[in-house]
Amino acid sequence: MLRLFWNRLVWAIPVLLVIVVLNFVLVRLAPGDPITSIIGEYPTPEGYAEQLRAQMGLDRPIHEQLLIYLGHVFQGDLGYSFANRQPVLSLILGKALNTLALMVPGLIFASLLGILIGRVSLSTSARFLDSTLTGLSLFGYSVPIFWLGQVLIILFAVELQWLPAQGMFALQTDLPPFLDYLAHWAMPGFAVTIFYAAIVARVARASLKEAVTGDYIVTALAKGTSQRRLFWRHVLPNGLVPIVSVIGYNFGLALTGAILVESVFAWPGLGALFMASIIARDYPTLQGIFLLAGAAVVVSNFVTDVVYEIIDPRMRNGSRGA
Amino acid sequence: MSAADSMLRIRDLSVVYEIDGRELFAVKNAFIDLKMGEGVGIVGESGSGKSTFARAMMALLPATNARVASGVMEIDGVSYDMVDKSGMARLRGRTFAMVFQDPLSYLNPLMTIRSQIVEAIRLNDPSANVDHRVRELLDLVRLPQRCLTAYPHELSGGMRQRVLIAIALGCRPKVLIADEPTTALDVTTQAEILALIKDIKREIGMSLVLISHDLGVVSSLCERVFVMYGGYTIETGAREKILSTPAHPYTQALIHTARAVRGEDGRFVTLSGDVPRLVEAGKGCPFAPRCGVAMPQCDTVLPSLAHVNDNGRHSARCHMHS
Ligand SMILES: Nc1ncnc2c1ncn2[C@@H]1O[C@H](COP(=O)(O)OP(=O)(O)OP(=O)(O)O)[C@@H](O)[C@H]1O
Ligand SMILES: [Mg+2]
Repeated sequence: MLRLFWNRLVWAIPVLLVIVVLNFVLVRLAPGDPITSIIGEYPTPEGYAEQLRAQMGLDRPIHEQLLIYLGHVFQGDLGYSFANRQPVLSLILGKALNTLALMVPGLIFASLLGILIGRVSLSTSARFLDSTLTGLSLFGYSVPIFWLGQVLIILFAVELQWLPAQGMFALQTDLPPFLDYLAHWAMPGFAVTIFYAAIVARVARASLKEAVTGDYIVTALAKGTSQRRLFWRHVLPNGLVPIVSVIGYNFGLALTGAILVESVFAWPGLGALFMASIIARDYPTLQGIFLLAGAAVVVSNFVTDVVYEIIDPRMRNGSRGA
Repeated sequence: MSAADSMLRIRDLSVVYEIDGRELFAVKNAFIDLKMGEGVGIVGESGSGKSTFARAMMALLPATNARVASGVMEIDGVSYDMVDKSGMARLRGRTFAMVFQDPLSYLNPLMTIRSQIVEAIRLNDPSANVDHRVRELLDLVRLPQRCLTAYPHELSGGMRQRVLIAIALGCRPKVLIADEPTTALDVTTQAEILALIKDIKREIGMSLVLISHDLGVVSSLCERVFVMYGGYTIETGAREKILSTPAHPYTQALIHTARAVRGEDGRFVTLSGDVPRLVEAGKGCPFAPRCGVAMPQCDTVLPSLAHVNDNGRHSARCHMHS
C-alpha cells in the first residue's frame, strides 16, 4: 500500500510538469496580447508598452520565459496577476475555495441521490417511482443549465423573492454567515446537484443491476439476509467501483466543472475568474488555473485508486497468494 | 413413501418458468421425505429440475419468470404453502441452508471469510458467542484459522467449498441442501468434500438433501434416493433397493450405463436420446420417447406413482408397475 502510494506520487510529478509546459505554450499560442488588454484603447506615452512588456518578462524568448516560470513554480510562486493586481497563488486558491463551496456539497448530495435512485431501480415493486426518477434524472442531465438557472432565478428570486439571485454572500444581511451562504447556495447548488445526480444515477442503476445478479447475492439470501442488509452489505459494495469511478472523475473536474453555473449565478469562483482571465489574456492566472485543475485531477485519480483498493481486495497490489 | 416419522415432507411441488409467454413446468408433482439425521439424494440428468426443486424450497427462484404453481411442505409438524414465497423465505437460514455448486462465484468477493461466516451466525442467532462458533465451524470443515482473514480469491476451490459449507452450517439449519457441491471441483477435491460432508453428517446428525446427477455420489452419502426425470419424481426408495432392483426403466438405464461406462471423473455417460424438455401439463410419461419398453399408453397417459415392494417404501411412476 505504501509502495503504491509512492509510485503514484512519483508519477504525478512528470504529469504535472507536462501540464505546466503545455499550458505555458498553449496560452501563448492563442491569439491576443496581454499588453494590449491592459493598455486598452487609451493613448499611452511612447515606449510605455515596451516598458510594461519588459517588466512582465514578455520580451524574452519563449523558452527563457518557460524556464523562469518553471523555476518560480517549483518554489511555489505562480507569478503575479497584473489584471487583478494580486499574486496568482492566493488569488486562485481563494476562488477555488469558493468553487469548492459550491461543488463539494452538490457532488456529495448528487452521489447519495444517484445511489438512492439506483437502489429504487432494483425494486420490482417500485416500478412507477423508478420511471419517475429515471425521467427526472434524464431531465436533470439534458436541461441546459443557463435555461434552468434563469427559470430558477425568475421563480425564486424575482417572483417569490425567497432566495438571492446572485453571489455567494450578501453585502449586508442580518443572517449569520452560514445561513447566508446556504441561501445563496440553494439555487446554483440545486442546479449542480441534479446535473451530477443524473450522471451518478445512470451509472449506479447499471452497476447495481449487475451486482444484484451475482451468485453471492443468492448465498446472502440463503443465510436469511434482509432486503435492507442485502443492499448495503452485498449489492452496493459489489456495484460500487463504477460509481466511485464516476464520482471521482467529476470531483477531479469540479474546479472547472461549474463555469456555466458560476456565470449564471455570479458565483465568485474559479470559473468566473477563468472567463475574465481569458478576456484579459492574463497568462499567469490562466497557467495557475490550469495547473491547479491538473493537480486536482491527479489527486482525485489517486484518491479514487485508493478507494478502489479499500472496496475490492482483488485490486490490492501484492495481496497474499492467489 | 408416506413415512409417518418424516421431519420434512414435500408433496405435489410444481414449478413453472415463463418462457416466450408460455408457462412450462420444470418441476411437476415432485415430492420428497426426509427423516431427522437422514440423507436423501435427488438424482437426475441435467435439466430434470433438481436445482429448481431445491430453489423452490429456499424461495430462491428467479423473481422475474419463475412461479411455484403448487406445493405443500410440512416440517416438524408445521405445514406451509410453498406458493407463498414470503412465507417460505422466512425459513431461509434457520430451517434450510444451502451449499452451491460454484464456490467462487457464490462467495462475496469483497468480504473476508470470517465476516461471511459471522453474518450467517448472527442473522440466525443474534446472541451467539461468535468467536467460539466460528472456531467450531472451522474445525468442523477442517479449515485452518488463518483462512479467516483471507478473501475468497485467495483460497483454493476445495477451501472455498469448505467455507460455503461453514456458512451454511453457521445458520444451524434443520436441513442442509447441497446442490451439486462437488461438480465444480477436481476429482481429488471432490472426494475430500464428499468425505467431509459424510463426516459432518455423522458428527452433528445433520439432515441432508443432496442433489447430484451422479448416483454414485448420492449413494455414498444418502440412505434414500429420489430419481427425477423431466420434472417428475419417477422413483424413490432405499439406496440399496434402487441400486439392486431399480424399478423404472430410466433408473435401470442410469445404473446400467453407470456400471458399463463410468467416465474418468465418475460421471455418468449420458443416455441416448434427447434430454427432456420442459413439459406442458397433462401429457404422457416424460421418459416414453427414450424408453426401450414403452407401451402405447405411455405416450398418452401419465403413469401414477405405485408401490413396487419393500413395504411401500419403494415406488415408481411407471405403467409396468401400476
Ligand atoms: N431461470 C430459468 N428460466 C427458464 N428456464 C429455466 C430457468 N432455470 C432453469 N430452467 C429450465 O428448467 C429446467 C430444469 O432446470 P434445473 O436447473 O432445475 O435442472 P437441473 O436438474 O438442476 O440440471 P443441472 O444438472 O444442469 O443443474 C431446465 O430445462 C432449464 O432449462
Ligand atoms: Mg442444477
